[in-house]
Amino acid sequence: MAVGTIELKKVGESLFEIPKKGKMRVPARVFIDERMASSSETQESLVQLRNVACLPGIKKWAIGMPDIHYGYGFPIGGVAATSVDNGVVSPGGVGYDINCGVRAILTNFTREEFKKHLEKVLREIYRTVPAGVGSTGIINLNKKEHKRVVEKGAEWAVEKGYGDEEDLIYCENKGCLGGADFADISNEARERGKDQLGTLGAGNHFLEISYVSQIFNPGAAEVFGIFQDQVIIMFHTGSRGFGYQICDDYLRKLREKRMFELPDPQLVSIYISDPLGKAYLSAMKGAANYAWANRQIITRMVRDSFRNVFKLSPSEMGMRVLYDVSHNIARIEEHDINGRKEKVCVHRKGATRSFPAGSPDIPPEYSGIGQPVLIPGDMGRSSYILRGLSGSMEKSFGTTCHGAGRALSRRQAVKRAKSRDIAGELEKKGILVLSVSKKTLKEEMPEAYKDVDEIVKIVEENDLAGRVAKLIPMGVMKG
Amino acid sequence: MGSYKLIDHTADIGVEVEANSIIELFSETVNALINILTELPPEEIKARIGKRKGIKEKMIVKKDSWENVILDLLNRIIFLVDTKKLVPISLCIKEKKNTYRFLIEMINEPSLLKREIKAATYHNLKVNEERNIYRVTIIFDI
Repeated sequence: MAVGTIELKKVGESLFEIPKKGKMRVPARVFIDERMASSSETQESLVQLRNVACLPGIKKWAIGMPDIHYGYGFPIGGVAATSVDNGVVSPGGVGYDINCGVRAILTNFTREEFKKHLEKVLREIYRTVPAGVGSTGIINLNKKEHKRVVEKGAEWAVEKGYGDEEDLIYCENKGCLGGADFADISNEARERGKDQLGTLGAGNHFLEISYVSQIFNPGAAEVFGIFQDQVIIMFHTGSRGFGYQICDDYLRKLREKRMFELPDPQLVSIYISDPLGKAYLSAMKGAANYAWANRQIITRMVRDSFRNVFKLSPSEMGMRVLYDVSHNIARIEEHDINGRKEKVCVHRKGATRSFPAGSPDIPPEYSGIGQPVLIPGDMGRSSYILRGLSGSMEKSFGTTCHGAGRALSRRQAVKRAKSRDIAGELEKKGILVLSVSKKTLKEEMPEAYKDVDEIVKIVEENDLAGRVAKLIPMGVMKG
Repeated sequence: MGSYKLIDHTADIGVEVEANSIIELFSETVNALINILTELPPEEIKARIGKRKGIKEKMIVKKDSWENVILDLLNRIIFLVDTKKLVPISLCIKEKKNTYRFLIEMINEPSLLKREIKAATYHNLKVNEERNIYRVTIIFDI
C-alpha cells in the first residue's frame, strides 16, 4: 500500500515496513495498525522516519512507535540505533528537551480515602512546584554546584536533601549518565539552566494524581507495589532551558562541519568517534543529569506537599518512587545486530526504553518482571504502567511508545475547543484541573491526543511492552 | 511589505514568512516570534507599551547562509527571553560588508510572555527567493 509518496509493506501484526530506497541506508519500520497506516496524517511523520533511515551507520531499521507524529528532524516516536564505531549521533534525534521523561511516585492511599483531600493536596503542589511560562525555581546554582549537578544528576539532589538514596535505584541509569564534562557546556547553557531546577515548565509538561482503575498483571503489579484503587502521582518534565540551549549550541557547531548530505538540516549529525561527537554526548549527558536532578527536586516538593496536608512522613504515606523513565535521549547500549552483540547509540525521540526481565540495567527487584514503562495518556482519559517485554529487544532496540501522541495540532485544538470551559468539563468527570494558562488547557484537551488504549494495544500485540495497570486521573496540574 | 502567517504543526508551531528583501525577511521572522511569545501582533505590543523605551541588545552575525542567520537571530532572542524575561518589541538591522548588525529592543514586561519556546528548529529550513520575493517556513519547538 502507499500513503502519499510512502510505500508501506505489511510485515506483521500492526507492523509496516518502508522498503530501503534512494538514500535510505536501512529500511524503516513502524508499529501502526491498518487505520493509522492509511491515514494521511501519518504521512508526514513517515517521511521524517524515512529521512532518519539515511543516517550514516544506522543499524537494522529506523523505527517508529505507534504514537508516532510529526516532529522536526526525527518524528516524535522515532528510534535509531547507530554504530558506535562508524555511525553518527544526531542531536535532533534527542531533541531540545534532553531527557524529558516521566516519574511515578506510589502512595498507600486508596482513591476513596484520598478523594476528600484531593483539592487541598493539588493546590498545595500547585503552590509549591513552579510551573508555566518563565517559571524559575528556588535554587540558584553557582558554577561549582552547577558542575556537580551536571556530573552527578539525581545523586546531587539526594545529597542536598531532596530525596533518599533509595530513590536513585528506581531511576533509569540510577539518575546519572557518567562521563558528562562541564567544559563541554557553553556559558549560555549555564546561564539558562542556573535557576530552572525544580520547575515543571509549560506546554505538555504536567503533574497528575491518578488512581489505579484496573490491574492486568497481578503478579507484576505486586512486585511494582501497585494495588487496585491506589493513588499514584505521575509527572512529566525534562532539562528545561539548560537542555534546549545545549541542543541548539551543538546543532550550530555541527552545521559548520557540514559532514553529510541529509534530507533535512535538523538531522545534522557527527561521527560518534569525532571529538565534536564526543563533546555533544558529554554535554547531552550533562543535560540528562540535570533533568534527573530536576525530577528528584520535584519529588521532594510533592512529598512535602503531602506531608503538609496529611502531617505524615513520606514513608508513612508509602511515597516510594516506582520508576523514572527518559523518552528523549541517546544512550550507548549493547544490542543484537544480526546475531552479534554490538555497541550502538540508541536515539529515542519520544520513545521509552522497555528493557525486559533479566536485563542487568533494571533494579534487581524488577528483574523478574521487566522495567516499569510509564505511559501518560491525556488528562481526561487514562494512563498506563507497562512492563518491558523481550520482543522489544528483537524488534525495537529495547524500546516502546512514550504516550498517546498528538492527534490535533495546538491550533486545531484551540479552534475546536472554541469557548469551551475545559477545566469545567473535566471537573464534571471528577477530574480537578489547575492550570496557569487556559489556552494551554485547550491545546492539551483530551481530544487533542490519540486514544492511548489503541497505542498500548499495539505495543502489547508486538511484545514490546505489556500492560500492568491502568490509571485514571483525579487531579491534573498544568503549566 | 513583509508578512507572516502562523501555520499548523502537530506538536509544535510553524510560521510562513514572506518579504520583499532578505533584510525584511529577517525582520518579519522576529515579528512572528514576538507574536508566538506574546500571542499578540507586534503592533499591539507597541500600542500597549506606549512611549516606554526598552533595553537594546546588540548582536553581530557573520554573513553565512540566510537560514543560519535567521536561526542565530531567533535563538539568541529566545535565549534572552528565557534568561532575562525580556520581551522583544522591535529590531533594527544594519548590513555591513561581512556581517549583519542587529539591534534588538526588549522591554521588561514578563507578564506579556504567554508561551515558552524551546528553540527555532532547522527542520526543512530553506529560504526561497523568486522574483525578489523571499519566503521561509520556520518550525518552533514549544
